[in-house]
Amino acid sequence: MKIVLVLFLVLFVGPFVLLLPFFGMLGAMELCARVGGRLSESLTATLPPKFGAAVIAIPKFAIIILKSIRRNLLRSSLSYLAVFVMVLVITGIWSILTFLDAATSAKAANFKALVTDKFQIPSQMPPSYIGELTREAANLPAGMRADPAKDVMTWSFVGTSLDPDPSKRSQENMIIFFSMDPRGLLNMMDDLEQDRLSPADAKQMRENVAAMQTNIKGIVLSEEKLRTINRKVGDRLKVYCFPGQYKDIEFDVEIVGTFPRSAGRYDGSAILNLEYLQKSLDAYERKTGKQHPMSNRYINLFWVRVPNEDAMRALAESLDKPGRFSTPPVKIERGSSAVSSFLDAYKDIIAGMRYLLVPAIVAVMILVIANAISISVRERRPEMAVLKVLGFQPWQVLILILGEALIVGVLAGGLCTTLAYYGVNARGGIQFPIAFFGKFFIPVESLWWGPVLGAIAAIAGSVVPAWSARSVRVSEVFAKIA
Amino acid sequence: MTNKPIVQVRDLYKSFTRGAEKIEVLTDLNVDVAEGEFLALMGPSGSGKTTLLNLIAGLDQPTSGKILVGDQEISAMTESQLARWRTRHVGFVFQFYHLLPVLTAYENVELPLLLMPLTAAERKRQVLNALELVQLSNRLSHRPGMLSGGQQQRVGIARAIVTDPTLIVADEPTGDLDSKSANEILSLLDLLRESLNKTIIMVTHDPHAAERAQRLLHLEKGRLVMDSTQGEPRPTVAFPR
Repeated sequence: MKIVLVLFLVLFVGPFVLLLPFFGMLGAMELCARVGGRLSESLTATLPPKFGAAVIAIPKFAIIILKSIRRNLLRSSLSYLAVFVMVLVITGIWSILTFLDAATSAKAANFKALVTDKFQIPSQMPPSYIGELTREAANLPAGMRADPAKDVMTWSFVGTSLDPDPSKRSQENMIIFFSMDPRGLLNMMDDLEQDRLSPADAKQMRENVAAMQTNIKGIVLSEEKLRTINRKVGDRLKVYCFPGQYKDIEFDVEIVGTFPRSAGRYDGSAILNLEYLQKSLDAYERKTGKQHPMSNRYINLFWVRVPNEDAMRALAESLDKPGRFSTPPVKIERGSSAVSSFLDAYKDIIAGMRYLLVPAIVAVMILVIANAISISVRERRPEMAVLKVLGFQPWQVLILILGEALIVGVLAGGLCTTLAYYGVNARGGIQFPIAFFGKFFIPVESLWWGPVLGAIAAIAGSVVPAWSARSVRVSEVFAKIA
Repeated sequence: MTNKPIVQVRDLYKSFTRGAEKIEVLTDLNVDVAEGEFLALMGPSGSGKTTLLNLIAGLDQPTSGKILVGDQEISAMTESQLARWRTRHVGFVFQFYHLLPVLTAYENVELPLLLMPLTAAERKRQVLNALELVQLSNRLSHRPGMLSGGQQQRVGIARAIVTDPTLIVADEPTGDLDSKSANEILSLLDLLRESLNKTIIMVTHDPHAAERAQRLLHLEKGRLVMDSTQGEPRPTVAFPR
């Protein structure tokens, strides 16, 4: 029954809903052309006739184009829907690729560098490295040095579950924490920087950090994660570390806040105060009389913001000095390059999306438009011939045909990306877990991508049939009819 | 009607090539058409009458020879010059009307005026005059599908005369109509000639339609075999060169 309902919605209700704005826009455009025609007639009354007539003719031509689109409603609707769906798919893919491009593109200044274990994956460094690496970064020459208060951050990944039984681990009871100094949330986390958030979201993050500093057991989760584990802010819970990682470590935590909704990339994420992790490991040692196996290697990543490439090079040189950072040795790379390395495993799928899927969809889109416009032109060859008989220039016939395709393409592309931008983003983005990115959002740039993509496909698809319409030989067309 | 020729066809040849074959459609044709004359072109299929009509209307170019309409040699014009010339000087009436189905009667008649430097008021006045002349003032906002064949042809005639052309060419204008509607259309063409002194060249297969013309030219195999005044058949005459 549910399948029938879904099929009904997808096949009948969906297209109808998608077509409504299309016809609405066509109607609005025709109304504008008519109003524009009236206005231009009154405004051009004082102009020289030749110039005035040219101005008046533009809305009249637009009306002819719009009426021609309405001539075969089924064909126009199907062309529109086909372009709409394909632009939607491209927008989705494009959004993912754009995000990944941004994450892996190298900035020229004020970029983040990542220090990790040189040889071991996953990187595991001793906690003593926090102070030592911070000092190295802070002691660089003036103009290169980092501010320990706001330019460094460490991450320790801590896998936990609400259920102590590992065999019962599931999405509904699992929480993977970034364990870190809460201050890093305000300065070092991508898209959470205070100057990038709205005032309300920035305030929410400041309150989260203050709560975590006051209460080291405080954790911050995404709203999505809260829903998944069915908890709310203020709840206290006990979480059990994965035995393969922080064996026998448990945390009694309290949910003190959530990520702002605008920071959708952190959906599914959770933050644990690093101090609490350290104290728990110390407590383990006091309780058992021996160090926890992770006590000396729980720093996974050390992030430092450097002002420029020279600063990163200088830091790399100081880290490479003999006798320093030798157990384990470390390497430094740009954050973007680290993400690129991480995404290496996905490079085939990303390349496939970029170089095969998107061009294939664009090609299909062009063919759909070419097919629809070709049929339309073939059916209307006598009409084109009549227009030429009446004195229309070949280029005017060309514009009439290109105009039809262009309007369908631009409306399909524009309406698609507008609906996608507001609809998909309001519903929480595109779920497409890839590397450590779980969700992707439609970028605001899509509001111009869509119409431009639709326009390009429309022109590419209609240029040949439009040229054929332009080149109609009047005598041949009428000879065939006769 | 005056004796001054408005159309002069001189040594006209037209041939087409189909594959390796060369088809002579019009051969050594010389015709004068006086201003205000109603001329009918007849002949069997393939005799070249529509080709001649298309050449005089500037829809095609001759293989050799000259065509002058007024004092302009249209056989020497480029395609875009011909398009501009047609807008001002030729009104075309088709057998199958060829109105744009998405436009109203008013908009169809207005179409050629969009290409002319007219003010909105002038354009409106000309469209209304043309539709009044064909007695369709009460059908301005009707689309072609809402009109009878005869009415559609009258809209077609209004579209042909709206630019006040020198010449009206009609290719079987009654070929798709019943006899009553055909009569009305022929009367209308007569009226245009009499009251507006329009020069009309009409291709027809219908002897009754041809009878309404003042002069009849008969073509066979691309040659002029008969030139007559109404009711006075006479053999082909040589025209002064």
